[in-house]
Amino acid sequence: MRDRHCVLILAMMLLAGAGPARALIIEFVPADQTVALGGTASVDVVIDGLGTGVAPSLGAFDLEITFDDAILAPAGIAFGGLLGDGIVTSVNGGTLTAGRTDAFELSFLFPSELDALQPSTFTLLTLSFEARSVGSAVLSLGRAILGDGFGDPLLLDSAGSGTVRVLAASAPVTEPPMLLLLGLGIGSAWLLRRR
Amino acid sequence: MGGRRLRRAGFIARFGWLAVPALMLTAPHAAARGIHDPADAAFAGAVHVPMPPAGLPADALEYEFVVAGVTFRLESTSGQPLLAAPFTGQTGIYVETFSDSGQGVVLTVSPPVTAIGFLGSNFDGCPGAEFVGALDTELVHTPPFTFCEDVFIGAADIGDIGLVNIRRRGSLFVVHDLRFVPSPGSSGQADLAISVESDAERLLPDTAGGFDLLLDNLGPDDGSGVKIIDFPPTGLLSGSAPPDGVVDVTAEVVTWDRATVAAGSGEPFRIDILTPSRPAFGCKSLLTNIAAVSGTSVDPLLANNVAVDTIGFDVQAVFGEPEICGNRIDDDCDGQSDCMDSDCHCPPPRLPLDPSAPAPNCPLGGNIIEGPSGEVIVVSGGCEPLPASEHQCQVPRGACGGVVLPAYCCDLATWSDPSLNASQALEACRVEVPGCAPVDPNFKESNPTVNAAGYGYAQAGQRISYRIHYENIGNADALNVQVIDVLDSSLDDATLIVHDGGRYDPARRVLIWTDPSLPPGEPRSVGFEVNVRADAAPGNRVRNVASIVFPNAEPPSRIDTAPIEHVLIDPQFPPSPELSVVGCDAVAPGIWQVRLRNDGYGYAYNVAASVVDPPAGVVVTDPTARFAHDEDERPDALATVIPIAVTSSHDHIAFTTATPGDPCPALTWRIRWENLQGEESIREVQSAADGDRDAVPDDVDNCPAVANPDQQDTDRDGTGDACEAPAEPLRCDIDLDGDVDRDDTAAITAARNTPANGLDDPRDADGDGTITVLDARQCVLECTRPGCAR
Repeated sequence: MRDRHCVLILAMMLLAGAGPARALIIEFVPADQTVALGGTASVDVVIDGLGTGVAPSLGAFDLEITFDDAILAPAGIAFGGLLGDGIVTSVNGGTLTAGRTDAFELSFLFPSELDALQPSTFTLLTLSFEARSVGSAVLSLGRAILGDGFGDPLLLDSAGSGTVRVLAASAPVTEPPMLLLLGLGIGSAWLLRRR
Repeated sequence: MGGRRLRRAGFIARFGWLAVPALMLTAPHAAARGIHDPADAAFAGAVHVPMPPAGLPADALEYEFVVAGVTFRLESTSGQPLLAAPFTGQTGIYVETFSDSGQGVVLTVSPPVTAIGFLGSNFDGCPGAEFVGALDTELVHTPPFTFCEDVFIGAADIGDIGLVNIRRRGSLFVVHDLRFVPSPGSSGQADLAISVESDAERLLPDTAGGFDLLLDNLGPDDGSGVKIIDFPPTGLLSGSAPPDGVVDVTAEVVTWDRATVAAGSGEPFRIDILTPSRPAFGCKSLLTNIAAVSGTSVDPLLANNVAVDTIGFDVQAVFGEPEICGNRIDDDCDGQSDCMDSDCHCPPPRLPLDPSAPAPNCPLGGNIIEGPSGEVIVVSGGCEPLPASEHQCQVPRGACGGVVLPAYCCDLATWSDPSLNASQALEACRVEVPGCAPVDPNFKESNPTVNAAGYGYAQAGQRISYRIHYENIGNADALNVQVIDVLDSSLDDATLIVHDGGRYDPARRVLIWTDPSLPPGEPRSVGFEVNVRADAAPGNRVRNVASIVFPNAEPPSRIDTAPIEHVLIDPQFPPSPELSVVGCDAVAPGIWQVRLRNDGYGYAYNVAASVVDPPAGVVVTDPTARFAHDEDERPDALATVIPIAVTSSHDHIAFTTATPGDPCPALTWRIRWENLQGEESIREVQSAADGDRDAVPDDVDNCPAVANPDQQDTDRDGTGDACEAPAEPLRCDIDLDGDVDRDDTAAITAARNTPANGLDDPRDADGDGTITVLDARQCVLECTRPGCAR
């Protein structure tokens, strides 16, 4: 599944080549995933639509991400490293609370350095969750404050969402045809019994 | 005159039976007389012979010597040596007479003389002598009831005297001086004359020159024992002897001896010199050569026995040349040196004292009173006057060298006018040189007065009176003493009045007094008065030096007095003190010693300075300080503030102030002082302007228009906070620590996503009313350190 994420990101990066201004988007990658109860789900928050080697680049961001805390419990945040190293050239931080995660990063790099460092698409941060109950949890972007190298706001054109499905721990994870066959079997059995 | 003439039985006895008819047939000589006054006319032109005669052995009972062709033979009949014993404390011929039995000294004279006498000191009784002349015998002794410590006994008008018995019962006598008048025709009378002529009237420094002397014997007889004496200009005698001359480098004299000089003959002599370099030889210098002649023959005219000529500095040769500034020499001889000369284009020193004149910017150098370049009082180096304790003046003491006196002794009036209330200073300012003569008896004084070093003030047209004091400090009569004075070119000889029998040679501008006989320990003086030229310019100087010549001293000696020099001032600006308080030094919290500066050329006495009307920032509890020179012996009676110096107070004032530095220059002071006459003066003075009255002088005030005694300057830019507009806070300097760094961005991110605290909240860098990470990013770009580091 991780490989699939990488393929998607790579595809977004390729699409973001130099050319006419592109829409600024924040996506959750993967957009949909299933984890077993008690397992861990990891979601990348990816920005797309910046310049490649040119402005605009991202100088700071401050995001709020909400989710169903009955299903998911926040477990951690890892920052992407393309605003700075989190120690000398940037500072970052966040709060993990029930149903909501805040995260921000502030770069100390000059705008030109950011332009040179950042591609058009990259991961801002990676959130990890613990699957605490069976169900489906939607990750949504609440507050999203983005600033370019000069601290001027960057306006999002759209923001995606993500879904994490949590299944019981004993239930095998079946492929859709198998379910279809199972459904067909059960249905057939029910029809035969009525007859 | 006062002597008692007696005929004596001894005389009759000595001449045997022939004497009786002589006594009977010969009446006493009508004019016969004993003489007690050495100035008696009978001794005019007398030959003086200091006793003891040269070469007298210490134990001799008999001795013979010749003077002016006359042979004298001394014989002691008391058994005591002729030479005075040390116990007498005298030098001379010792005459001891305990009885009339022939004790004493017998003097035989050949050929006999017309008058003879003895000057001496008596130790017991009163001396007497029996003079045996061709016509009479005169017994002379001191009259009764006469104090006869120093006496003269002589006789004349008794015919030629060939024998003298010096004796009187119960007397002890030491003869210092023998005087006699030879009989006409029996001994030569030679009018010896000397003249001197310089090569040039004026020469430049380092130039060869000289003086030609000419000896003449104007007769009528041959001169004997002739000595030609020359005193070259002081300091210019080299060790090389002129032909036939004898050089005494120590005494600075050249002599030539001639056994006889034929009547009507003459002989030239020559003295070569090299003029000194500058500044020793300067515009006012006169190189004075003095020539004299003496002989053992009788000289009927002494006035022509001395001659003087001078070589001056060739002023015309340098006039118009540029002044070299700062070498302390009046290079172009216009009377102004260095900054005093307009050639130097610098503000003149304050002489004449002109309050409106700018302060000197290139002051003079040297001690407080300085030599040949002529400044009366000068400062030493730099623009600031020296501390008073470092001033001094040096007083020349002739052969004894010099003696250094503290500066307060150099006041113009301290020495010349002791009637002023400067008695303490006069007593303190002694000029003795240890181990040397206690005082120089040969000196000049003047009116207007001068200070210890001989410097004073005068002005154009003013009359100056000079008096020259001289004394014989030897132990025998000085004969034919000459006092010589050459008039300064700035003196108008048309107004000259010569006192005390002096004569004036207008061609050479030389004054000469002749004193035929000067006994030891008898101070005398001569004087003259003359006007300064009416057209003499201020700044010029009138310099005067007298010379006293003792031609019969051994060796002959010439003594130049210390110079007297008057600086000509502008009467509009007489020298006076110019006092101000220039600072205070804290000696303890709230206790201050005050520094007083005298920029004037006048002395001030008993000076007190008081703070008046202090500004609000200065709280004065003791406002008055008093000043004295470090070496004042009794500052409670006479406290001295000297010119061109900074004098510290000898007590303290008390005040507190918020001013970080020294507030005293900015304070107003009331200064009181006295002159030597006790006349009080008062002035109020503030050394440094203080427009805002914060006790900080304007020139160092970091906010001169606003009172700020604490001189606060937060940003240390040299401008006081009181004068600066409120500082514009640095954008994004959230913690107001003067820079923008991570502390400031951290303060913003800590408050992100909250409303700004009003429009001026520095955390809301973009002013959108909300503190966000974007504000932090904008502030990153305002960081004042690389990488926004702390």
